[in-house]
Amino acid sequence: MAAGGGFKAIWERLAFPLGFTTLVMAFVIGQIAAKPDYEALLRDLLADHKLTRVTEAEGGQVVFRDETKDSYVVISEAEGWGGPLIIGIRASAEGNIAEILNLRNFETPAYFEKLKKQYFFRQFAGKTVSADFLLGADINAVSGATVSSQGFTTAVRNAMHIAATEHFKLKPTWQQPALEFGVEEIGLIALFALAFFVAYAQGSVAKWGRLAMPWLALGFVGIYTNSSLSIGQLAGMVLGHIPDFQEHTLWWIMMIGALGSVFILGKNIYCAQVCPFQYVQRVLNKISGINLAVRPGVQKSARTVVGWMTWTALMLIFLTSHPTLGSYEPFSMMFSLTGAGIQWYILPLSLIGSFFVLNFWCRLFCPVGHVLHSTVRVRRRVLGGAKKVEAKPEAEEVLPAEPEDKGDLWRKES
Amino acid sequence: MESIQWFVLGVLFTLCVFGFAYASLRVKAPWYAWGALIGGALLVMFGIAWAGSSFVEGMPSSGAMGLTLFCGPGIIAMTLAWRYWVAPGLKGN
Repeated sequence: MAAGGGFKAIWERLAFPLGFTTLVMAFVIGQIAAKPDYEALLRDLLADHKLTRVTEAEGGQVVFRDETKDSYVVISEAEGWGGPLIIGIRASAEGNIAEILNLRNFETPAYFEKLKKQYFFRQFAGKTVSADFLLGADINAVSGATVSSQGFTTAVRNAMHIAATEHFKLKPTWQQPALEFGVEEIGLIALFALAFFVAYAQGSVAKWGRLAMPWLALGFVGIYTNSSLSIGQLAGMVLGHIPDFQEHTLWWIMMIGALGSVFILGKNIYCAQVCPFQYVQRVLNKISGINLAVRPGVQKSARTVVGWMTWTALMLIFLTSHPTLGSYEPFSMMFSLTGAGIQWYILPLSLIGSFFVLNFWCRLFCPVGHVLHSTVRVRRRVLGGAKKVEAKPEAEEVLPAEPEDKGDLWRKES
Repeated sequence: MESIQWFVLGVLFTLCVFGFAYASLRVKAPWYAWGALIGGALLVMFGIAWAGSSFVEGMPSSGAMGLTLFCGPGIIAMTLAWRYWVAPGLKGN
C-alpha cells in the first residue's frame, strides 16, 4: 500500500512537468520536421511536368519554371481556418494568372469542398499581378467558408504583389486591405464587456446582464459568428499561426478577451460567460431537470482523462504542425453543421450527456476549458496564491470548466 | 455490428413495453402523456437505428444528425412526460 501510495504521489507530482516537457519536445520535433518541401509538393501535383527552380527569383520568393506549360509557378503561404496553407500560382511571363494549384492545406474538408464547388479559385484566372485581390472588391468570398476564402486570397495577394514590386518593378496602385471592423467585431467587444461586467458586478443591472448573457452568447458567438475557441486555435497560436490583425480582427478580439482575462485577471471569463456550448448544455439540463451527481472520485478521474485527451490533442498538433488535427471539440460544428471525423460522434454524445449531467462536456471532456483553467491555476501559483488554491474544496478544483458565477439562475442544481 | 444494433433495439423495445405497461397500472396519466412517452421511445429507437446504420456505412455526419435530431427530441419528450405526469403519479401512489 505504501509503495503504491508513494508511486501515486510521485506520479501526481511529475505528471504535469512530464507532460509539459514532452509537449515542448513535440513542438521542437514538429518544427524541424514540418518544413515544407515545395518542390516535392509541386512534383506530386504535376508529376509529368518539366519543372526547374528559378534561382534568381526576387523578394525571397520560391518560383518554378514549368517548361511543359510555358509558365511559372510562384509558391505562397498564408493562414487559413485550419492553419497554414500552401498554394502555387501559375502565371505567364507577363504576370497573368492562369490557375491556382493547391499544394497543401489543413482546411476542414467541408469548407474546402465548398470553395471548389463554387469555383472560388477560378476567380483568380486572368488577373494580373497588380490586381487588388481583396475579398468583397475583386474576389468574392464563399459564404460559410469566409476564413478559408480569406486565407487563399491573402496567399495569392502576397505573392503577386511581391512579384509586382520586385520582379516587374511596378509601383503599388492596388488597394491595401482595410481593417475589418464591423458589426461582428463591435458585437464581440460588447459581449466581452458584458461578460466582465456580470462576472464582477452585483445588483439588479448585473442580474439582467446574467439573464441576457446566455442568449447573446448563443446567438452571437454560436450562431451569428460561429467563433468559439478551440484547442486547435490555441495550439496554432503557439505554433506561430497568428492571422493578420486587419483581416482577422474577430480572432484577435476573441484571443485578447479569453486569454487576457486569464493572464491579467486570473479568471476564466470565456468558459464562465462567453462559450455558447455551455449554454446549450445548460438548456438541455434545465429541460430534463435531471442532474446526476458526479462523485468526487469520478470528477478526479475525469480530470485525469481530460488532461490526457488534451495532451494527446496537443501532441498531435505539435508533431504535425496541423492545428485542426487534434481539435475534437464539437463547438463549431454544432452551429455550422460542418465538421470532420470524430467530432460527429462527439456532438450527440455530449448533447445527450448534458441532458443528465450539468455541463457534461465542460466538466468531463473539454480541452479548451482544461487549458484555460490550468493556466489560471498556474498563474495563481506563480503569483503566490498557492495556499489559497490548495485550501479550496477538491470538487471545485477538479472540475475543468465549472462556471465561476455561482449566482447564475441557470445553475440551481437539484 | 448490425446484429448488435438489432439486439440493442430489441432490448430497448422490450424494456419500454414493460416499463410503460407497469407505469400504466400504477399511474393514471392523460392520453397525451402516453403519446409523448411512446412517441419519444419510438423516436429514440428510430434515431439509434438511423445512427447505427449511418456509422456502419461510414457516414458519421448523418449518424450524428440522426442521434441529435431524433434521439434528442425523443429523450426530451419522454423526460417531460415522465417529470410532469408519470413521476408525480408514482409518488402519489
